[in-house]
Amino acid sequence: MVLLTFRLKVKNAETGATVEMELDGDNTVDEVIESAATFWNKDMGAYVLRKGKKVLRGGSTLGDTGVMAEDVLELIPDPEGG
Amino acid sequence: MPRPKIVRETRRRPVERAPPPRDSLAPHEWLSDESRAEYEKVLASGHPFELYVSRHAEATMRSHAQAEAPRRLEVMGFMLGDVCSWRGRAYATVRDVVTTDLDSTQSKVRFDRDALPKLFGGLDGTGFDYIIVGWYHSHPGHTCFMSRTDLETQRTMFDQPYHAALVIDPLNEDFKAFKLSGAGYEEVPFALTDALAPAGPARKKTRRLRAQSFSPRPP
Repeated sequence: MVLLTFRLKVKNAETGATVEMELDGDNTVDEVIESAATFWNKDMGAYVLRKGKKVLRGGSTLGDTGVMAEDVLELIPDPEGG
Repeated sequence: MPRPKIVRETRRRPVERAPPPRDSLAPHEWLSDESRAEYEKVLASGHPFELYVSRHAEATMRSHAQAEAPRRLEVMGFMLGDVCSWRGRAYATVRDVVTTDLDSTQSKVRFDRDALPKLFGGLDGTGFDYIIVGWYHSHPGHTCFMSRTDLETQRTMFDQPYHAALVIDPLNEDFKAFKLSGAGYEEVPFALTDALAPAGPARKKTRRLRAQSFSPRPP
């Protein structure tokens, strides 16, 4: 199988910072969240990833979710109050 | 399969901008005497407040909390704005807030998992390049403080120096802002201002939301 490498951006909604990632279509959403969260010293379990209004689900591959090169995804905190 | 590789980071620097003018500022009507004294102290110092909240954002948060107060349900949302700097001092502005349907009880609140698309639509509808500068939630009848859960959320997600947590008690009419401080937290003085407005689309969206769900009451 030929895996095509592409780039996309992930924005940190809490800081406005953006990382550019190199990945392929078989990478999962969880891997994207983990990479970004680790880079920003965050707990990946506390975040969700969105593309527009769509929540990108953890185990899905980027190919399955329709993410494409040059997309800008956003890492959104998932807070709990008590 | 190789892991995603981060090849570059672009950081957003604080905008160098004068804070909202003094004649646009006011303390929140629900401040305690102690909080009001801290507000006056910052005002007299001539230095910027650490946090400025637009009248529009305040009214939306308060109305949201009041709408669920009769059932004593907590509410929650994000505060959207910008991080600025003026003469070496950083401050945050809250222009607007967004929320969605909640999974809420009298002592816990989260965004409903199925309602995240609605939250994301709200973010896209703000009409400006926001930063989530903090979050708000309510403690109906429990006074304003940071619970263990709140503190964990703050540490995990809102750990930048400008990140604030606004806590509203709509039954006791209490309204406080907090930030992390060492291993705990501290109350921070904030100012309401008329000088910050949401972008056009957000104003329309918020009006519609309030008309459907809230019963806003002027402070």
